[in-house]
Amino acid sequence: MIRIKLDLAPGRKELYTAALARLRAVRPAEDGADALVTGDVSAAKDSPVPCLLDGPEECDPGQLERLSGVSVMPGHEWRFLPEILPVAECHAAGQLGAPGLLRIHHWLAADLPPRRAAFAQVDLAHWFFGSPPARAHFLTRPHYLQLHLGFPGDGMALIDLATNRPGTASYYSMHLIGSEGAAYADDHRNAHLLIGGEGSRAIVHEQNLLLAIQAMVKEFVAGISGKRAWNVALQDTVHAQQTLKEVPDA
Amino acid sequence: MPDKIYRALVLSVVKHGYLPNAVAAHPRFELVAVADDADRPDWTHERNQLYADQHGISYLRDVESSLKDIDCEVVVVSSEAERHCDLAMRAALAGKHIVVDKPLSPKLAECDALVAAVKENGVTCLVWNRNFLPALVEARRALESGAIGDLQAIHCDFYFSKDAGPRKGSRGPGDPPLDWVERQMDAHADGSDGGVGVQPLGELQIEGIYPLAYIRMLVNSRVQRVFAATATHFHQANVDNEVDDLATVSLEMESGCVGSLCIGRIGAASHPDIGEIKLHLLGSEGSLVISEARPEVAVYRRNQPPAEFKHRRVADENNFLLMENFAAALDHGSETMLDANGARDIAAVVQASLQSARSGTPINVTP
Repeated sequence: MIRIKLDLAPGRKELYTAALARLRAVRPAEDGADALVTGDVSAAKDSPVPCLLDGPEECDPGQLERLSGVSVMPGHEWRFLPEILPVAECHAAGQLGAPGLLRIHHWLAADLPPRRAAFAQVDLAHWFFGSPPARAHFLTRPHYLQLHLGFPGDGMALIDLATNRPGTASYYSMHLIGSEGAAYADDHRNAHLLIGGEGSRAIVHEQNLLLAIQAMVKEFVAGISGKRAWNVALQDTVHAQQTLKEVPDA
Repeated sequence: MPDKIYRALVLSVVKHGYLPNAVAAHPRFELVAVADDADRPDWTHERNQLYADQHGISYLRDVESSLKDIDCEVVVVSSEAERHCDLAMRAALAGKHIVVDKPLSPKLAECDALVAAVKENGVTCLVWNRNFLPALVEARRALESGAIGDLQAIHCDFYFSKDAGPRKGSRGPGDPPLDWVERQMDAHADGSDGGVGVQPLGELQIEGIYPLAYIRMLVNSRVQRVFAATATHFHQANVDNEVDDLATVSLEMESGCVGSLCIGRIGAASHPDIGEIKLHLLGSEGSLVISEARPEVAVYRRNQPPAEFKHRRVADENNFLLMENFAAALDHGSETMLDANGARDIAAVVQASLQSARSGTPINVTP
């Protein structure tokens, strides 16, 4: 049994509590915990037990540097989303061959700076190609960012990111094309159709964040139990921040 | 004279015959002969002769005398890509209207010369495209109705999942590099020989005109600047001949709209059908995602050959509507869906993209 202390704001704590409730041999604890989940860098730095840092993309790069040597898994929850996991698994198993192109369209209704929203997608690109890009080109417009990344070898990523979109629905489409195969995670394919008096409209399945948190905590716990490195490291957070540092303002 | 039947001379038909077939299928056109230059290689003559025989028309090994002597108003050019402009130019100089296969030419100077010849000789030119596919008609209708407001960004993903010969890395030590023409001739059987010719062409040069024509039609603004990357990621023939089979292009339009294109011949294993081809449009009031394949009907059956597409496109009137568009242009002097000038602008985007990929810098497109 691993006891995990959740040092989080109420909404996030509720999410993690629900995720923990779905896992065996894991339970939340206030005292005597074996591990910590926190969004506070200082708490992570001082933690005597392994720590899952929630929302690492919000942290200042200088703060992250101070975590050097501390047992911290950055919470890159987007890597664990249900539509990403099968793509990552195929890629990791070599089923797609050498990655050639990562194509992402991500449109969000939320009024976020595009650079902030781009963090997760840039991290995915680094992850799939195994390194930060060797070259980058950016196109910016208000509420819009296009990232054109070239990776060592001949890999390329083209990310189309828009925020503050009209309405309430977001949209996500991701293709990873390799030399031996391709994987498509695409809201367009996964849309349902609602037909009513005013015509028809698509219903896009919302990303299930609880499942992502569940999978991420599972990896966190597995790393602790197996005394192995997690599949995401603080260096990954830093690399994504460094790539995005070059993005000019719109 | 809306009932007039236009007589069409086919100048070289060395690829699969989709273009002259489309002309022949339209009730306002009839094929009258096939012609080509006498000094073409034997395989060229064989294919021209075969096509002529299949259509019950004669094959003449003399382009100039055919243009002069055969009673026709239209010339259909379906040669190797590197000869498109030359043959179209000769047709224009003879006062013939032109239907020419894509791409117009890998050389911008040739495109410029054809644009001038078309203008000076007062002829009409249609460069083959897919802008009348039902999905594109739908996209255009949605945009024109104001459904998504002002267009701010447009993206096209254009992947053909056909193989193109042996896989990259399959050439053994001591094996000779794959010959481009031989590889393309092998591809004739499955209709993926769009790059046939002496000059090797990358996927961006062969197929780029299709998605760029979509973008041109929907944005209605010239591409001003590009940034591109290319790779030979899939096929040994592309590696051996140093032409891309995968490319990404960022686009900046004069109107302020931005865009992008991902294009590749990604291999048969990478998609259950012909490939993933999509448009993503962002407007001020909404967004639009268009799948080029739709509408389609799914057919799954026992003993289905692996290469058979399980999703069959339906309601595709592209060929008919292109020829209808061309007939209207001949009847009334209206514009064609993609004229020599438009195809020339697309060739300029392709050229700038290849230059950008080589230099690693953004490149302004030659206006």
